[in-house]
Amino acid sequence: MSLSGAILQVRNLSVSFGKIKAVNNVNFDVERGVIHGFIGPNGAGKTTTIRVISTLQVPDEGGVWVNGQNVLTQPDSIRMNLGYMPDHVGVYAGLSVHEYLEFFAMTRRIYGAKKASVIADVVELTDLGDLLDREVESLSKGMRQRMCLAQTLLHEPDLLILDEPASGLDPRARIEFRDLILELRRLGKTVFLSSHILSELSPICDSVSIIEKGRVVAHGSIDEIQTLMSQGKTSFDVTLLKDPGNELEPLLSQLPGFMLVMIQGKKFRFEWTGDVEEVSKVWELLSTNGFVISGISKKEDNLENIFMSLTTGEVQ
Amino acid sequence: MVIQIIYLVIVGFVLSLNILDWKATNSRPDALWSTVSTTELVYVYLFMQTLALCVIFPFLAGSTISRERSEKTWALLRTTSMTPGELIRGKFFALLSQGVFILLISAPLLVMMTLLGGVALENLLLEYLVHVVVIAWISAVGVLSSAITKKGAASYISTPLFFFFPMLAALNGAGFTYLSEKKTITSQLINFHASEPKAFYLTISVIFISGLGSLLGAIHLTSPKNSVRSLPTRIGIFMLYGYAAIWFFVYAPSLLNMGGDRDFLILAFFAGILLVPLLRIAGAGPEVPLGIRQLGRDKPIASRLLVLFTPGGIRNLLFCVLIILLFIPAGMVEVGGTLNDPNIDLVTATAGVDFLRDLYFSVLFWLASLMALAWFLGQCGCGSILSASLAFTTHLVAVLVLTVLKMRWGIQGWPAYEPGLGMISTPFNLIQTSGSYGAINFQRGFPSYFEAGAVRVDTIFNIATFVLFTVLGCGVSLVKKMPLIAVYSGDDGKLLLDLPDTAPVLDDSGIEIDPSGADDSESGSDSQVETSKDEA
Repeated sequence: MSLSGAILQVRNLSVSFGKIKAVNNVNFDVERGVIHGFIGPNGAGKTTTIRVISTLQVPDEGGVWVNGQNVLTQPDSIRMNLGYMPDHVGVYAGLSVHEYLEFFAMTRRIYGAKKASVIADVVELTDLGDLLDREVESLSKGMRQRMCLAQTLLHEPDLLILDEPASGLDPRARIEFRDLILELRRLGKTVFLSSHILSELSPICDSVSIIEKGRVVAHGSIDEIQTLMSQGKTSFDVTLLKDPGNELEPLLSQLPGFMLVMIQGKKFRFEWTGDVEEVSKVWELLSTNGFVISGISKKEDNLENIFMSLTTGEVQ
Repeated sequence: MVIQIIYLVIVGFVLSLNILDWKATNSRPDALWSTVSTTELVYVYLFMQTLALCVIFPFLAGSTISRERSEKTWALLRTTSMTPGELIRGKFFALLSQGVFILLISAPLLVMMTLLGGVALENLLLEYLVHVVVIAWISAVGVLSSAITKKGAASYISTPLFFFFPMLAALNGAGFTYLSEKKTITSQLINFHASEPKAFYLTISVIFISGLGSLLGAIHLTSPKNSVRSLPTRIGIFMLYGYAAIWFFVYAPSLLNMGGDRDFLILAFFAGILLVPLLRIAGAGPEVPLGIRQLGRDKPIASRLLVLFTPGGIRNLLFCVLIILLFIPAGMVEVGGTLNDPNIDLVTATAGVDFLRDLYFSVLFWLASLMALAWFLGQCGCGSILSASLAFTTHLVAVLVLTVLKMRWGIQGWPAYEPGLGMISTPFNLIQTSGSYGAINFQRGFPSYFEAGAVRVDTIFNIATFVLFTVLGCGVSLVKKMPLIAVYSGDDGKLLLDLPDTAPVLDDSGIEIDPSGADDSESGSDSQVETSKDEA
């Protein structure tokens, strides 16, 4: 069984294709019931890692555990509890959506009344009701994604592995798909999804792993990564009522933890090292010396900033 | 849809011919049309049906898995609860049902023809059964072809290569039977059974074995490399060869007694069915699949009992030797018919029996020698296909070169490569000998071929090379520190079976996660990379 509360544990994972090391000593955990983003540029090793997790690829080194079960030695058990959606959704020509779902229900050994019941449930969840009689070939990309997501849910898995689910979707379909993923989390599912569309992941992910050139360069919640990246420093943008001239830096430099980053007219940016609560000393000192503050904003590192800071954009 | 249109065209063509024929031969006012021409038209139709099956079905069957791969549905299927066996079985029966559907399209028309006379309904049904068997065989071999090729385009090339010669032979036979002899294949098979029952059953069993073997091979190829499934697959292969050995044991006396080309044909045939698959098994990678290692750790007693059926190490060679040993009892059988023949004196008959038996053993030991060479190459790091190809090619070239040297310059000191005698050791020569009288005449130019005990020298050479390559392979294994016989040595390599206690490790800044802290991009072992490449 799992040694921790994590549903997915990846340890020392390496996969090579010839001389190219697609995945290089990757380690991370994914906690149960969260949405975990797996972020990286094209060619970073996302799909290879996902294929190992989904029991489709044998690694060269290391191991992956899903619910405490090893993908190498217990792939059949893992497949019972894992839903996999590839980056390109393949469909069988000539089948209707309902037939497609029936087929995959049977491949999951779901038969009879239970089959009808679970299909009805996933159809309702994924809002496929109006499409049941449509031929799968005639579906748009967004509809196909929803249909494929429905088939991954048929056997009620705890862990969903979605490889680039938002890729190629129009804005409306993306929003609908994002809402669907949030609904799945509400239902207690763990969602592991890869993407390079960061604006989609940022508002929904509880945690992320950033991978580049086969290596995980950051892992944790977005807040944790922000904190770690800033190394205890917090940036603030301040706007004064009038231009402070050259008086500002000698005045504030006496405060321990203060470092002026930029000054431009009435605006300046500084980094505060230490407890953020104590940054009020800056405001007090400014007020005491006759500076009137018209605006303060704490600079937030969003996922895109973090990603750009951590990755170089190189591929293997 | 395309298939249906083709069949409708064929049905329409046959019907048109019938109507034209009826108009042309309307000399029998009491008959709707000529029963003679009806019979001929049925044969033409059956031939065209065979033609269509032989042309269309290899392509349908040969792309069945590669099409799934190219349409991105294979990965989805493989993450479901279906086992590789179920997937292959599903593919096979899907193809078979398509074939039966195709046959049924024309069935009403042909059944109606039986009402007009000339063709008996039961004959037609039996003929349909033969066609179903043809479809089943093509489907089985086609699924194997499709499982071997990773890409769709490659499958369209490999499929005709797989089927070219068998289909050419089948069409030739079908054309001769239907169009020249004006008989059904069923009636030819009945005649075959009546005249040579043992050869008949042998032929049927070979079709069955090759079909079943193809399906097992496809299952093996679609199973994960590290799976424990290689164990039942090897047991299945062993059972199939055991079945073939029993048949050979039962019918060896009469087969060896048929004289002339048949001796060599049978030997060449068995050399063929043993050679290709076993060379690949012998030359497979030396690593033990992880699933097998886990079995060795968790169930050591069961693992030891099944040690010869588990892949990796020297077991790859031992398994092949075990299968070769299965065929030895057949070589021990007395050739009763020859000895009891009043027209042949006992000394000549006994000499003939001795010669054939020695020849048989020579071929078996030659196979063992090649297996050892392939195994040695596999230990050196060549893949199974490369090892098999290199072993066979090396041996063939060596035999031919040394034989030429012996013939041209009379070089002495090649005990195993006596002219003609050495050539026995190649299936190329066996097939050539059995297939052409010219080859036999060619061979008669070498007197030493019939010298008493000559074949035994060849056997000694083959045993010696077997020992040599086995020892060399063991040496390579020792140098590379690879386990030879151990299934589970307590070391799982770099593939983790148990979850380590360590949590993910962050570096000093807490960002980069890399417990080793070193770029070990070159550290993966060759065997593990090989495993990964096969799966990719």
